[in-house]
Amino acid sequence: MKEEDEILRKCGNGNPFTVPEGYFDHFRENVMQQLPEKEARTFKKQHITVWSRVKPWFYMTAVFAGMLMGVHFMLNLSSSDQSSTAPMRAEKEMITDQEVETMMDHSMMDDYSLYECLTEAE
Amino acid sequence: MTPSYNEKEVLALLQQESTQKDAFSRIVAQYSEQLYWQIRRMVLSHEDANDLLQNTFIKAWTNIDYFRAESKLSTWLYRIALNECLTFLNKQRASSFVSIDEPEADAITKLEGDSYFSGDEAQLLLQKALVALPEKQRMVFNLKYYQEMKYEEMSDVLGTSVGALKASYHHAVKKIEVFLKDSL
Repeated sequence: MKEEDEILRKCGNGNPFTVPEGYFDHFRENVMQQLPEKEARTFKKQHITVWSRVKPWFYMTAVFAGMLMGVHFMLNLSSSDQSSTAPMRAEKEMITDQEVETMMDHSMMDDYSLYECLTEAE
Repeated sequence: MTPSYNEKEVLALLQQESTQKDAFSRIVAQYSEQLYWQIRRMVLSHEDANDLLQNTFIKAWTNIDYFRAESKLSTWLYRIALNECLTFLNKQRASSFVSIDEPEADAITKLEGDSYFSGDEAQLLLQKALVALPEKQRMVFNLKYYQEMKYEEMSDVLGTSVGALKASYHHAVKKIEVFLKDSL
């Protein structure tokens, strides 16, 4: 490459850097002294118990059981809400026509306003 | 290259716990100087180069059990050394208080006053041109220009394709040539 030749001609590829005297002579010794001690490679034989084999399945079962109980509880809650409204419905049915008329008189609503109110309630 | 160094023999000795440290000592003796110069050309300062070279060998020792001999030992060591350089230079740049426009000005000022730099004016100018290059491009230039490393080996060291390395070197040379023309 022409440009590379130009650089070589102008600057050369000699080493302009120097090191303290004896640097490389002592380097190996310095580095070897700094190396961390390696831990001895030992392989401990692990004793696997029945519980340690069963443990993951046990925890998984417990999680699923908890989830099922939660769902069952939520379902029960919503159905108990429905049954608690039954007495209220029953109460409503026990209100007589006479009582309705009395309430209408007290509310001072005309027939059209009452009709509107009842249709909105439904 | 020390006459007693035989890489196959050293790699075999590395496999045994009883001879591992002695084998590593031979590796340090064999590669410390060439790694040092590569690091020094990147960081310029002897003190920094010394620290990084030591870190390189400590890292290599810590991970020697994971060296699989799929690449050459020298390639593996170069990879560690150059990664240490890049990490160091990035940290240095991040913590530097020098102007963002001319981050290399500080490095060159230090080099001019460095007692371990004995280059002439032209060599100082070349260092100025090199310091202005992106770090990885400078690395490629140094490996090719000073060390005459083959592109295939460079590709293993840097993890970049041969084509990309050739292009990078070509661009580096062009930039340096323009810099020298403007300065001389």
